[in-house]
Amino acid sequence: MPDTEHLSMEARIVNQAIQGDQQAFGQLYEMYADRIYRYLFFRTSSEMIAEDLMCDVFFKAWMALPDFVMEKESVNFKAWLYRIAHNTLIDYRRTRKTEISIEQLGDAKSGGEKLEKTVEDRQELSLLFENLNTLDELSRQVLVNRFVAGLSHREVASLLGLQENNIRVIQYRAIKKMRELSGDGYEGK
Amino acid sequence: MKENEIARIIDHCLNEITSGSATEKDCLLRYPALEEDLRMAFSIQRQFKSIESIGLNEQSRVAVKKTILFNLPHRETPVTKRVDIRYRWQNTKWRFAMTWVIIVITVLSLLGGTGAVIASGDALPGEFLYPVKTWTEDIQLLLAPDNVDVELAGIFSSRRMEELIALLQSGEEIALDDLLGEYRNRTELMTQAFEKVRAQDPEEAIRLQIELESRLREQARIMEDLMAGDEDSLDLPLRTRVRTMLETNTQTRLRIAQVVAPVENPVDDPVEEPSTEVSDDPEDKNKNQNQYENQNRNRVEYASDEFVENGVLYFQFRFAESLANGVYAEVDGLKYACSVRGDLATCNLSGSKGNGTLKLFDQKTNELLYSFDYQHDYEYLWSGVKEGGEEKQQQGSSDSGAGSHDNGRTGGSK
Repeated sequence: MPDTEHLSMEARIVNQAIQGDQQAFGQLYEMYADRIYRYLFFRTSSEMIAEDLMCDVFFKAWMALPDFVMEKESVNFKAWLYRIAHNTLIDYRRTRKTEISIEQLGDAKSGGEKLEKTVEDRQELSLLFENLNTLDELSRQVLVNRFVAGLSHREVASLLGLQENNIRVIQYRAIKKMRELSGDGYEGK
Repeated sequence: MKENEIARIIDHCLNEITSGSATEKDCLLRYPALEEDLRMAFSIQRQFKSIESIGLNEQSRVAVKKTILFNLPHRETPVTKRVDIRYRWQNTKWRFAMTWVIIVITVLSLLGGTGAVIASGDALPGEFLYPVKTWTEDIQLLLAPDNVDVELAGIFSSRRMEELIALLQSGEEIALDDLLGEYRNRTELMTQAFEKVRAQDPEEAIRLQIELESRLREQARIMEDLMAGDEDSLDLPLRTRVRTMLETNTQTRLRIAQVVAPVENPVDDPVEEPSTEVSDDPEDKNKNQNQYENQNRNRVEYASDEFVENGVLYFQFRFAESLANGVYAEVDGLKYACSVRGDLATCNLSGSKGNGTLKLFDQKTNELLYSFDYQHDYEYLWSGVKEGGEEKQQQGSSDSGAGSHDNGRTGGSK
């Protein structure tokens, strides 16, 4: 579906949800559940925690929707929802520090079946987690927001309170660091 | 070159590749000095891309959705009159439904205990309690308003997928015919309810359409995965049944995606494909091909954008004349829904193979409109030969600029 058509359809649904239409909100859930879940999974490395936090994110989104104002390009619903997810993670980590670990990945339960079925090479995913884990928190956040959440630099910059140029450089350095860590292993994959 | 500048170029290339406006090879040719950096960035981007399929499984997704929707806190937000009326109506229906649920549970308790209803939740076709399961579903469908019917029937059709997998795993394959009938029934009810909603409330229909398309695509993916296995994993009779279910799924998607009437009985009355008939006589073959090309040369203005969104491949074709009848696509005998806006058709090729022959048919007359061979690297963009014949190649590439190209496999794509 072309982006413009998708966005206008999404805007209608968001407006209905703002008006209190719970079914419309359910529709937004269907549209974003996987993406938010994936984002949270990558930030917590636990499928169970990701699932719990996802509930929090959508509850918070529901309550905050009346304050959501769609502006031209600067704020879209996706970026707004990811901001809620990001803040939910911060809140979560205030109470419980969680680091990415391969062990936890191996223990993943609820979505494990899906994970095994859809990701051909689980080792590759583990390697990705392992390398991400060696990065500093900011670099990790930039990569996950860019590549997992699919946010633009502007959106990531706004989310993290940095300049766009900084985000690009952080991304570049993070990619270089991952290359150094994996050596030639990445080439040709 | 300054770090800032390298970072900007790499980022620009990554964005272009994501949006489909350039390939890895394009970027590598444009910035040969940054080949090493670019290749690494592409490699990491691909790695992240490969995890896009991670998500909640269907069961968890539905469970979480229920949890969220049932526990949504009250919000002090002014509600429009229209919505207010609808909710009042729904509440009335809900009260009515609950009355019936109580009656049904009471009757079942008298006959066999509530345990029967609960236990039937895991029943498979052919088992004693399975009729209780489908009957309970029927009651829910009977009592729910149309828009809820659509969602319920969608959920029930997904249950048939779970049952399909369970049956194949347990070896109880004889019950597949029952399952096929149930799947047809649920998808038909879903489509009928959806068409009612579309007639009554187009906005609501748009919202439901997204959900149904997503659900049906997921079901199609499951069936395609099953069929992708070798004959040991799924023998011919079973494969035929799964294929029939997939046909039902495709037809449902077509009906939901299109405003026009459904293709009549596609399983029993296969679409004629005059141009693709295999002929041993080279003259006949050329004649057919020429006839076909003459017929369609002026119809397709260009075969234009192809893009991947959320792992789903889309084609867009612009036709010289109106597509009032709508179109659908076919690849390797499987049909795919296309949406039509004016003279632009967009086909959703979810689950299609990376290469094959794509044919476009008129939705109403089943006339073959266009056909070409393609290859596609699902990770990124087109590669290899896109068009079927020289003339079509010219048509496709001259207008769209998207003819044959390599997507930079040398850069290490799968």
